Amino acid sequence: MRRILILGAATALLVGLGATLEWSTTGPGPVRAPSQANATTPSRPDLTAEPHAAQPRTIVEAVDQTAIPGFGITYEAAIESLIAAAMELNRRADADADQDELAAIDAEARAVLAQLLHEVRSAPERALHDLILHSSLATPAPRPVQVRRLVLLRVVQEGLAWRHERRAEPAIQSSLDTLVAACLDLLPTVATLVTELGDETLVERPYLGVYHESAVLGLFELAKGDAHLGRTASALLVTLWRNMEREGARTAAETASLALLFAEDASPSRRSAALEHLLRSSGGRYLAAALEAVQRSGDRDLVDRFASVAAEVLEPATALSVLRSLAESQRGACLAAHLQLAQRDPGAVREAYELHLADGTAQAFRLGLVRSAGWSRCEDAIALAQEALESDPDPQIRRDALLALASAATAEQLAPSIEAVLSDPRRANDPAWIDAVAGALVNSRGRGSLGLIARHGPRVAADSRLGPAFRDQLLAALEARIPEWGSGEQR
Amino acid sequence: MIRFLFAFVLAAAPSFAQDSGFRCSDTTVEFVPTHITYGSMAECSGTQVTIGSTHVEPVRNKCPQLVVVTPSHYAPKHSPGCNTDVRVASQSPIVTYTFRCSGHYLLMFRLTAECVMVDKQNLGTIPNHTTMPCGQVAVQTPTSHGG
Repeated sequence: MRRILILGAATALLVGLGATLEWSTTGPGPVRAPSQANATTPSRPDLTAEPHAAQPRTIVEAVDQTAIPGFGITYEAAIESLIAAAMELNRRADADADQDELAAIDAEARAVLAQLLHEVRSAPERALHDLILHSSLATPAPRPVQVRRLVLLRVVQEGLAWRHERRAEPAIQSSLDTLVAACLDLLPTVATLVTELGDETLVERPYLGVYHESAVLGLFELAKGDAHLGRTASALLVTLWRNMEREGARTAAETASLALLFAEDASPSRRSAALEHLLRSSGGRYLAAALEAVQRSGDRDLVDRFASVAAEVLEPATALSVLRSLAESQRGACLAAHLQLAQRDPGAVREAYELHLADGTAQAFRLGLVRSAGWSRCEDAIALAQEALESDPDPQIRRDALLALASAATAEQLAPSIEAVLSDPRRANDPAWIDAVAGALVNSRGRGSLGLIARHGPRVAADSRLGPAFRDQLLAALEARIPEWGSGEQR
Repeated sequence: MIRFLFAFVLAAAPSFAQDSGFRCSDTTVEFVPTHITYGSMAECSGTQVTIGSTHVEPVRNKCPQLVVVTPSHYAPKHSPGCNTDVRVASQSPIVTYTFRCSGHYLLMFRLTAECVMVDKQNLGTIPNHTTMPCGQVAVQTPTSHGG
């Protein structure tokens, strides 16, 4: 019910805003050519000048360049023209049309959109209004509705971009803020708008500002029980704080204080946004406080998200220390973060493993480091995997090291380790090691390892101690790589 | 008399097992559901992604660079008084999948783009436990299973 009331109020607001903008746009008279304009007025597109020779790189640039003299356009005509272009693009793309053909249609569509935004200043508001009208609950929506919504969303997005570019003019800044506020008001009303207006239009964009702080914080109340809205609200809050710091509306210390306030908030998505912001800003100054809050939460998803952001933004050595702390309290978590770090700095990962192997500490952390080794596929990764396979005191780490070695190394480098396991009576009779060998053979496929799979795969597949999960994988690999296997000739 | 002896043996078996070095760890199992974690995302007007029977849609119109799937399993859990031990019944693979955005038209309208899986690798193994009455075999901790 609340969402219906919000939808109705926002629609009324948009209609009124559109009328106001049209009045202010049409104003008292036609746009004057630059030579006649007051020198102190902001620059306006020159409608009488020749078209600019260079092609605009973006639609924002296109709006500011000369429109075709004397060629007016209405909102309705422009939208229908854009929809026709989109349908034509779709049809030709499905028919594998030449890229030049598609680019030509796209160029015409861009020109129409630029002209629309130039001549109909309320076009983004009207497009937002029409977007609501065409928000269908049917999943999926009929194709014509999808295309119309796509066009309308692009009008809104390019309208925001143009206004942001021209925000030095107070009137345009005001219209930008109001349009963004309308998007925020509409966001929770329909599920598709959370994605279209939130994830695709406002998140990681520079449009949110201090004017929108209350609206963004209010989304968390509406997000209770709505995981998608919660995630988007979290991303919007991080975007808002970053924008406010960049524009000088808030200092880094002020946003950090707000984030610390929310670090143990009841709302999981607000908590996630706060902890992510504390990681991304202030150069890790609040890392210790954020880490403590994450560990106290006991929320596995929050731990994973925090670890991934740490792996992305912190120095590798610092990120590794974060993963070490988290690993000891959340065994087996943070694998995605480990993989990100292994790709960023495999040398640091190897160094961290060797340090903890030497003093026999942080078993859960060592497990994560070894598992991630196969991801980077470099000399450091191969050396780490081999060292773990030969020397780690934990048998699970040794087994997972075999999988990592299979991912990172060539078949020639892997073969001795496979053969060593299968010729060792203790390991060859251990179901867990048989599973590991099967998993390693599956990992090794596609990199000159056909001989290795053909040599050992059938024997391992026939072993009664092989577990069902790895058996399915190995059989699929054998059937894919050895044509005779499927006919039973090689069994 | 025979029945008495039989009952005596049955009653003494646990304490005999205890005296022989077998001890009850009072460990049971708890179900841990499938856990999915995502790496960084790239722009892609993608469709929903399905990995086997697992439906994945972390963020619409974003393509995850990698997805890590830890399968559901039964993990050991200390529970005083439960009078059971645990053993490893099987191993399950932790799998990572990599994706890329395919058919992505960098035009004004992104009409045909799909998040496509390009590779999958076994990242590690996770043991799946089962319970057994105390005293049947020597207690083994999961991490020491095998060589």
